[in-house]
Amino acid sequence: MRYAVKRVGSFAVTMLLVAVLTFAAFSVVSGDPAQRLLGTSATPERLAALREELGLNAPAPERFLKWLGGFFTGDLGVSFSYKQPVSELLGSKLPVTLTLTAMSFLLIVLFSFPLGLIPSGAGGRFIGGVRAAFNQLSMAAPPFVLGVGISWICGVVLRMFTPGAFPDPGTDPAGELRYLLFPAVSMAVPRVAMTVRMLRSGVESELHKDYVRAAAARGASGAFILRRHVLRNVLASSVTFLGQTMAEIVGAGVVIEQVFAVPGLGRLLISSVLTRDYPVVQAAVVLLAFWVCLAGAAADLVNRLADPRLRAEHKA
Amino acid sequence: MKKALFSFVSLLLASALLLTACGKGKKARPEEARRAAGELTVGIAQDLDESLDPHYAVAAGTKEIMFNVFEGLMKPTPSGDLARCLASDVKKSEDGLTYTFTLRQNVAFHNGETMEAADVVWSIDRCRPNDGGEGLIPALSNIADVTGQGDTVTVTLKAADNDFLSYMTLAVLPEGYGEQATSPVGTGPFRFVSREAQHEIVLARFDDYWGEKPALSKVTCRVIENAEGLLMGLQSGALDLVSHLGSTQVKQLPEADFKIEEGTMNLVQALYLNNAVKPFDDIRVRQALCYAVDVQKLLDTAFDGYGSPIGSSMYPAFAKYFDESLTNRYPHDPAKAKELLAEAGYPDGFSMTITVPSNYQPHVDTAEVLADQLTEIGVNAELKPVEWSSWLSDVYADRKFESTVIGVDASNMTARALLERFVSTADDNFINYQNADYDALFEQATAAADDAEQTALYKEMEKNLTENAANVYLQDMADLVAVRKGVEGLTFYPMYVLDLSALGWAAAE
Amino acid sequence: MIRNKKRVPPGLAAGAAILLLFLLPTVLVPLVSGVDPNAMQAGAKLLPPAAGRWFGTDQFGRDIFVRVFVGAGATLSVAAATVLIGAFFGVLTGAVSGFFGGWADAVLMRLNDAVTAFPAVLLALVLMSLFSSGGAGRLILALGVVFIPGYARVTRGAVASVSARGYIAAARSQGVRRGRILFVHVLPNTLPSLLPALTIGFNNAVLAEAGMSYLGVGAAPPDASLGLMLSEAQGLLFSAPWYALIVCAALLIPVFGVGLIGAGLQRMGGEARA
Repeated sequence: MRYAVKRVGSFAVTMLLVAVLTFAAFSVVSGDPAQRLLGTSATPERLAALREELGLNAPAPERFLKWLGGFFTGDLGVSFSYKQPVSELLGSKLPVTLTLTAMSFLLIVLFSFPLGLIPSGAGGRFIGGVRAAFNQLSMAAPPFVLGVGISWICGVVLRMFTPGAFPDPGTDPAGELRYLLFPAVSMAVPRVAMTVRMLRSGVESELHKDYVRAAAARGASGAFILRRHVLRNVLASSVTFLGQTMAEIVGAGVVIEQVFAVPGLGRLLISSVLTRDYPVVQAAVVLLAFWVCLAGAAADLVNRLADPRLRAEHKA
Repeated sequence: MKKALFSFVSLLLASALLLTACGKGKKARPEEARRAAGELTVGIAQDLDESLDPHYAVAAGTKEIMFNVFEGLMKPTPSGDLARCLASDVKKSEDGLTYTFTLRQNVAFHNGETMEAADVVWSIDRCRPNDGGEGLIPALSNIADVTGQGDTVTVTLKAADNDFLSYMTLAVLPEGYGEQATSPVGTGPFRFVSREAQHEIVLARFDDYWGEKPALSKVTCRVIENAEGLLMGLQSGALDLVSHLGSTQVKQLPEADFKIEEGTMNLVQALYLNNAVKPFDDIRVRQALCYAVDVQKLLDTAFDGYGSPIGSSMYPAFAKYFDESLTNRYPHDPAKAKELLAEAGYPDGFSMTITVPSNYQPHVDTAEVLADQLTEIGVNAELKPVEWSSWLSDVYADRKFESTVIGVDASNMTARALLERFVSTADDNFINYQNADYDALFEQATAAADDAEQTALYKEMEKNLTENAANVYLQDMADLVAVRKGVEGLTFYPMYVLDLSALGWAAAE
Repeated sequence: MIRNKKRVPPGLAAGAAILLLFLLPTVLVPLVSGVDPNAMQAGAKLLPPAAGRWFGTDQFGRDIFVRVFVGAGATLSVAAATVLIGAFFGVLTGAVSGFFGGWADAVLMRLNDAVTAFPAVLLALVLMSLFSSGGAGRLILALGVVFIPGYARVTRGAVASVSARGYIAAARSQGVRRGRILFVHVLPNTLPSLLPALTIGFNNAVLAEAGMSYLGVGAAPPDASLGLMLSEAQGLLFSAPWYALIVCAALLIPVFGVGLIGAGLQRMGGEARA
């Protein structure tokens, strides 16, 4: 119980810090939203009027408190650029991004565990070496290069999907899923490689530990040791890693959505940063940060449930 | 061990299968489905990131598309003239102060209402700076009074203005309609259907349009920010038409599927110099830069030879005002440039920065080539890419820059707009050009009695800019449009618009 | 059990060899080629590889062979500096946090969490526009900050686990100063878990530089950098496929080499612990 309170507390503090950081970042960055909206036809009078209308004249702390107050009452403000309520704008983008992230995460888990838990000696030294090299290469491939490559090959050459023709949100769920598979794969490939490497080194270092040697000395079979002892310990540490991976794919998604022209949160975030659409940026950042923190907290929780030592520590 | 290897291989196979399985289902290619339905998808590189209300919308990209949704009393034609649109007749009084518009009958708005004189008066009043209006268009401050009665609207001016009719391209909106920003309503050949931020804008044919109805039933404008994405969209069948492509990009499209049409961007692209900072406050330094730059070589290097060189703040589409002779005022002459630099006290050259908006690749490319060319006279130019928002605030509004490469347009399709900005006191004189002769010429031009006199004065102003080397003038860039074979009717205007009503699919063979 | 003699794993040697083979031309080519990497030639645009221009020319007629190595030099220096900055501050915060615990830990880790949860791309974008001048310097600073939390977390974990060992408790009970314990006894023993993180960090830094250029906020043209060249090459995939291939290879080879070194170090660390 105490743990839960502490965890929720630190969660809240983190979120607040993120919000403050975002706000602070924008009060120092160059570029004026009103100027941006009016472009080269801005006149001093219209600029002044628009600044007033957007509420940019109030001092920063006051604006922040106002935003925070709105946040708790469910009012995220109105987008400068789109003149649409921010909650509405984000609401239409969130499902796409969540699906993309979830798909990519699923692919990572689905592929990295079988690949990572095969003992590294499997298939002899040569195949092992090739596998390690291949792994290393996929890790080094920039996701956006991978994205462009996959678009060309699967989209233009093989016509497996139509890059640039994401279905209108909400009208064709199956089509959306199919389209999202390709960006999800481009996001997953490097992370699969990283996860495989993490798992493999985890397995290896466990295998060298005394309890495994002792079990082997007692005559337990290799497969039994692997299943019974090694996996358990490796899985515990990999949960934390996966939590971190989740945070990383949220970041990678920002670029990948751009490459595949997926109308998601990341793309909205980038364009809102560029157009200085503060209300949207503020809300989008908090939303993404929430997602990242949630992944971290979930990993923590799973670990705690799986590892009796950690539970005992806190009961004491 | 063997088992492990087996499972590894089978996993690889499974993943490959999964990928191909998703691609099964041989449907008709998307572009063929659109052709059959008379629909078109256009790729645009920037979202219409602002209010859709035409009186507030200022971004060129927004006007480009919404041109099809809104109309004014007058409308621009492809040849650069003005035609009557919602006004079926226009009469100008002897003294040039009163304009009487006769309104077209039975013009419907997209929301079903019929256009009346009150709507026209309301729309003009909304934009002109007076007590009730919001002052959206400063040039309309010349209007003394607007009245409407029956099917006529009368506008009275404070002073005669030869350009007045071009301001009457102003969109006519239904009086009192409150949702123009998100769900716009006009009288144009296409009506607004829906918009999804960062994704698309959908327009549909307006079946009650007063004029000739467009051939296309539906047009989707899809937002794809990166150039590769646009090219990929064309080739995958997601898009049918993309404007403003680069020469290296269009070369990559298969000739069998696409034709490339060439228009002009109608921009004055130049290396704009901040005339108030050292060393550009010295006319000899500015002239030296003009002599050092080889515009034709620039076009060959960065634009595959596309684009038309210019020598002042006027582009060729304004045929009446364009002075061809200014283009060659500063032929490529590095020796002369060095001489001028030495006279100005920079025998060994100097260092400068060129600020460029990083999202406009043609300007970045141009700056890159210019930097290379300037090394020839010992000038070391460093590029400083900035975001568009920063460019607007720092360079355009605050004038904190040394030089910048940008394209300047004529915001309301008048030659005057191109020249007025360099008057000493102009708000948008971002290069800090201060020239008493120029200011005097402008005074005379606005007061000019007739068109011929005004034209002559405008040309004098252009010459003044060139002689004083206000900027290093480069070119009016080519507008390359990739169009899918089968789509016909692309028309270029001397302004930044895409006329969808003229487009259509050719009858299938 | 006989303790393995510390043997250099073959991966480590191979990685070092690959890296050296790549670094050699990166240093030498710009020095000896005598070709200006930024010199343009309008008549020689997008030419395929041939004798005299081994990697062909780019869209401005510049020599890709020279540019690729100049660009690799720039990118690798940015990546290395980024890792150093990130690691320096990350290790510092992580060590303080893990060793002293308490409220210092709580504050630092919350801050750490906040920076992690803040989208990295946005953080870098903001930092880039904050420091509006000074090309590579601001890029290094921006990316460096993004990398701090990762190192801090790894260090904190490692420091905490080393601190729990018996000899540290013994040192403490003998009244050795805490700073001395941290820097002499604890930190050196965290190296085995830190080194692999450093090499992975290098990998990510190279990719981040490329990603920033892709978003148009990285290195300033015309100076070559692999990220910038990659985003250019990507737009020329059909007219000059070799350009993209060459830049990709130049990006992958050093990262691959460093990756092998990292894996090797990890293995060595593992064996040493066993």
